[in-house]
Amino acid sequence: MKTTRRPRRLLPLVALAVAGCASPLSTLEPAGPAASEIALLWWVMFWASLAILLVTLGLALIAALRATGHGSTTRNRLLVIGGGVLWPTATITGLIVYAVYSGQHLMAVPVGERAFQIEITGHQFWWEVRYPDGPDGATIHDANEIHIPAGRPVDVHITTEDVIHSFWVPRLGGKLDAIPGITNVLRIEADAPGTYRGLCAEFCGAQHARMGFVVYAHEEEALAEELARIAEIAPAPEAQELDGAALFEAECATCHSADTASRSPGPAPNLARVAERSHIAAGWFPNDSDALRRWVREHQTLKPGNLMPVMDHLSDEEIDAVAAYLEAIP
Amino acid sequence: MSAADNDGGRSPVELHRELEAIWRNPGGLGRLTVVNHSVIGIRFMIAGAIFFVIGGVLAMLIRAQLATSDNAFVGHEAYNQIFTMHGTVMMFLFAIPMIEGVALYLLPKVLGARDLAFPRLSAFGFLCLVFGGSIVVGSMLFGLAPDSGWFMYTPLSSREFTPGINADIWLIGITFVEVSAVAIGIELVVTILKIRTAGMALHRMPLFAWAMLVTAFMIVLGFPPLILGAIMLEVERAFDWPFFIADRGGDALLWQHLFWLFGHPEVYIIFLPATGLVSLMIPTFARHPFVGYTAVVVALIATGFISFALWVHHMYVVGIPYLALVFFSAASMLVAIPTAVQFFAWIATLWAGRPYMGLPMLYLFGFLFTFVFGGLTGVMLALVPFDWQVHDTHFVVAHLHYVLVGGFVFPLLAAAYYWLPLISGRNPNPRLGHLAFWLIFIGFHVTFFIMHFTGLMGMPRRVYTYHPAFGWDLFNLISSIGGFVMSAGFALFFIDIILQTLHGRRARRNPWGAGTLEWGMSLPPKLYNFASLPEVSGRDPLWDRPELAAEMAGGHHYLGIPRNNWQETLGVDAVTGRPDQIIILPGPSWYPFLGAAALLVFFFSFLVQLYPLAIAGAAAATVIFMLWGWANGLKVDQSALPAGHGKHLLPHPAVSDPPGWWGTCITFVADGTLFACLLFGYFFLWAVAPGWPPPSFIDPDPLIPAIAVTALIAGAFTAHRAVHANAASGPGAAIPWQIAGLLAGLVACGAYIAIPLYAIAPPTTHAYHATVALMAIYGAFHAGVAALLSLHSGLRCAAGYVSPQRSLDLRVARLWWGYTAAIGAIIVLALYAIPAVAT
Amino acid sequence: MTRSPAIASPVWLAVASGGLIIWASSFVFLYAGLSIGCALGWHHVTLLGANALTVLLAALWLVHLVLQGCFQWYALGLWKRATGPNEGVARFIAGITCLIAATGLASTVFIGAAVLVLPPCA
Repeated sequence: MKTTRRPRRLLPLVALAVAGCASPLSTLEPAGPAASEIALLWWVMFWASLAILLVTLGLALIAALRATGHGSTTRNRLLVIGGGVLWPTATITGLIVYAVYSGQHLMAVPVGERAFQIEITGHQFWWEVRYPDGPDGATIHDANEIHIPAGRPVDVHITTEDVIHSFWVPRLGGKLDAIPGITNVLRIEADAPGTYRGLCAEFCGAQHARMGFVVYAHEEEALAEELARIAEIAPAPEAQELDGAALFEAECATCHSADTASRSPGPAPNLARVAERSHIAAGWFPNDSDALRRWVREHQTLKPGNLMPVMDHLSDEEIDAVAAYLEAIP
Repeated sequence: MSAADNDGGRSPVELHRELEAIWRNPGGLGRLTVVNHSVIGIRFMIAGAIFFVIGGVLAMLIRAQLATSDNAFVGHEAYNQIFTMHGTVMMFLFAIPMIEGVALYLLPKVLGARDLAFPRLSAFGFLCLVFGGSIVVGSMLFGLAPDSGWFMYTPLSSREFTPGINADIWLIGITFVEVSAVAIGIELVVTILKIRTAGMALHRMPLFAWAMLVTAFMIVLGFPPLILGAIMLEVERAFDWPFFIADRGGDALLWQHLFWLFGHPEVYIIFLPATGLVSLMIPTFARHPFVGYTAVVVALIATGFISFALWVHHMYVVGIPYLALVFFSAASMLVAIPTAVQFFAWIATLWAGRPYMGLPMLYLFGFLFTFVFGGLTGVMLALVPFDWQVHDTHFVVAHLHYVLVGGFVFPLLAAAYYWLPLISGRNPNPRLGHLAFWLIFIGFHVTFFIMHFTGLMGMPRRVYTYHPAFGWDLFNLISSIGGFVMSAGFALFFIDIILQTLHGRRARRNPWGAGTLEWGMSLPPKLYNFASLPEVSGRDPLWDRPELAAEMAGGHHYLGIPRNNWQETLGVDAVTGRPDQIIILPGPSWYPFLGAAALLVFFFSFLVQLYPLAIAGAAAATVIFMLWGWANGLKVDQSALPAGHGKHLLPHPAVSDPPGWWGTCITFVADGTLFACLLFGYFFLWAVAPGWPPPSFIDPDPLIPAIAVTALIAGAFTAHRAVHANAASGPGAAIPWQIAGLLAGLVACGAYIAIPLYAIAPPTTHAYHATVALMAIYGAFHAGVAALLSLHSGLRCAAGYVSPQRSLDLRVARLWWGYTAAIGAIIVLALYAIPAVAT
Repeated sequence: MTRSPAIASPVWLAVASGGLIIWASSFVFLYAGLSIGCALGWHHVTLLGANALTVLLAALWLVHLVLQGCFQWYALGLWKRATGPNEGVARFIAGITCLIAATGLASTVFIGAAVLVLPPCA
């Protein structure tokens, strides 16, 4: 892989726009080799296009405003050959050679043991996350947050259990679809530790708009520690004593799992770490102290069309108990 | 060119009066029977304009919702319906019908003809559009509009994830509209090849006709994949045949392949006619003949071909091998070259002439500027790695609007101002038109230029809202403001057009000083277009011979001879333009309306799951189409008739290649494409889909295929013998063969139907069984139609419509039988031989 | 088939498109060959020092290049024979036949060349 190349923010117009509205999802602020490669490709094409645009439109304007009956001379016909055939042929040949070369080393080619492996399953409207190589070789189950090493390639194995989704972390690389019955592998990489936003890029139904996730890149040791910690997260005996434990068992556990060692039994996110995630509802609402309670009460207003049943029959006290139980797990 | 050519020595005024009487259209309820191309063309354009306004209002709702983050203007349910309908309406109900309307209206006029090859077919196509479009658009009134995107990706659009009627409305309504499009496509191919004026050899055809010829072939080849896909998805939804369900051997990607195999050519189906219009307008404003005609013809043909090799660039992120993506990437880049050729040919034409700026020219500049922009971002998107980032973001939204608005709407607006004097006989008034231009142009670029960056900053498409923390608010607000400015411009444009149509100054003949034949007519044109059809010897007949318009009106050329109350036009040799027949066109008819109404009953009943009524509708349609076919032709043999200029020509029922023969051949191109896609689906699922092999294969008992093949060969043989018997001994001798053909067709049909009933597990079991059943049904349908054609042509032999000279019915039946037998052999091989080899 | 486009026949429209028809065939064979080859694992087999699928695709590509070459030669012959009563249109058809043949050849080169440099199924 190439070292990081930052885009040159030379163009005033664009610099103005980008500086004015930085986005955590901007492909123009790449944070990994794949995204940098593509951002560079964009800037090359941008400048080339600008030049082509000015030349062609200049010619058209001159022809329309200044022509004085030159007739169809040979030189005029050569304009059709030169401008219509030779010029674009040269341009696209150069461009495609560059792009094929550039794209080829973004592919998820085997890099031996080096690549970190992650399994992602798209669901309406959240992301299931699995680490197949957890401590002791066990699989860790999680949702909507992904922990990866910085400075090391990551192979994301993407599939879906319902409709087609598309996994995309703009600052780290391109996107790849989650297709039923197929597992696609996407190669991403972060240059440095940090927090990166991701989202679903293929229309997947009612709440396609609110199907985000967060990627955390760590130094290797920090990642190992974090994964070891996550692997252990499960309801402790003292949590089992809470009023909420039985309620969770009765009301939630048909779909949700509450420990990272087991997969949710239904199409619902693993809740072992819900209290410590930065956001709830698939990377959408900041997870403040009241977020979980509000979600259980009014999730069909917050994220209408999500597949969780309405929990009207729970009293405020019961919701509080369930939330307290979940908060006690991590 | 003496008056002696004009049979009977009529004065021009008498000639016009007689022609007017022959071509007159009924009023009142009889308007439903009108088939004249000018009337149908205008109806298509008005329908397209209405759908454009509907689609535009939907676009405004989208921009209103996206103007700010977390906007509560419309909810996700309404938004998903709105963006789905915006795309659907603009692509299927505005762009295609508008192009068809312009072509139907304009083509005969630039080709020097009086009407199209099959006027009743265009009337039928219009009604299919209105009925199908009403189903789709009407669903919005009930809040049941399709909401899975205009691309209808499975499995989101499957029964499991879209249980309501919404997706069915899309599939059925759009299929109905596509029936219309394919009908018009066939109509246009035959018209351009056969119905031109004398001397209009291929190298003298206006470039618009070339563009439409390529486009019409693309429609004929490009729509069948989607028709097939829509049938498969609707059958999956209605009867649970799992074509696209991965758990049972289907594959969601099969839908994407079929959809984009249609969807990408569709973009060029919209763009090429617009370039044809530009190529008609540019020489007028350059006051110089077109420079680079041959290069542009080659560019049009090359675009037509290459556009069928681009479809996977909509699927770069589905996980296809990189090498395959590079094939499609290379093809997508290549298509830039023929486009550049056209662009530089326009520049060269302007450079060669002494251009003047008319109002249409301003819009043409809007086109050049905007389209070059869209073309350049198109080249960017063709590059695989770049697309991995911006695929399904607002960058693509910006690009496609640059291409479609730039490449289609701006030329169309230019064309509206250019041909308005022709349609309404009134001159445009440049002031409002200028203001409208600047509002549209500035509004457009404000909306969509910045949207490239919205996409680069990570905003996906098809989201009904976005997070304030994502930093997209300002860009979206600017786009929304631009959108409303653009809408104001369009409103002004429509007001301007309506005002001028009603109150504009009367235009004189050929107000722009153009060279093409349509401007040789009186304004507005008569229903018969030309009182006589000229002999042309160049590409700009009115520049070559300024007196031509007066001569045509005076009846000095071909067919200035009204007779038998026939609506006549010339048929020519497709290559040289030498007249080879007189085509007698049908007058007003109820059959198009009745046929479309019967199909409406069929489609609508299917939609609301009243299957017995649907069957009744299909049966009624069959009877109506047979009656329609019954009303053609003549009952007596013909000798050559005087056509003008001392030439004598046979009327079309008496020649070997009348338009009907050509139409049948082109129909098989469409039909064969559909069949090829069906075979592709069968092999694609087999090779690529997860969940194979199926639990069971077809029962290898050879009885059923043996019966089918025997009956098909026998049927083809009878149809062949019937043609020879008629040629040797007259129609009476053909009748016994046609009775045998009827029986053979029924037996073959029965054998096909036995395959899903007895030879395989139920089609709901696995995608394998579903595709086998669908192929058997395809075969059964063709065998059934073959039987009906044998019956129909046999009856027509008995009724006196057939003779050794008038043998079209028998030859059409033979062609159908030959096709049916050929696909029968392929079906039997695919169904029986492949499993035997593969297992 | 008639030997010169001076003799009118609609078949000439198909002949004129010949170069692009051969190109379309090359495209279908390359894409279908690649898809089927990857599905059946031909890229794991070694043949002539390379993987069998690449060899197969290269062979398909070469066959089409040869076809394109032959057709180009035929098209140039048409141009020479384009005389007779309909010389104008015959020249035009022979001309577009040649140009489309050149387009088809260039397109076949442009699209197929990747076969030689990229691994087939990655």
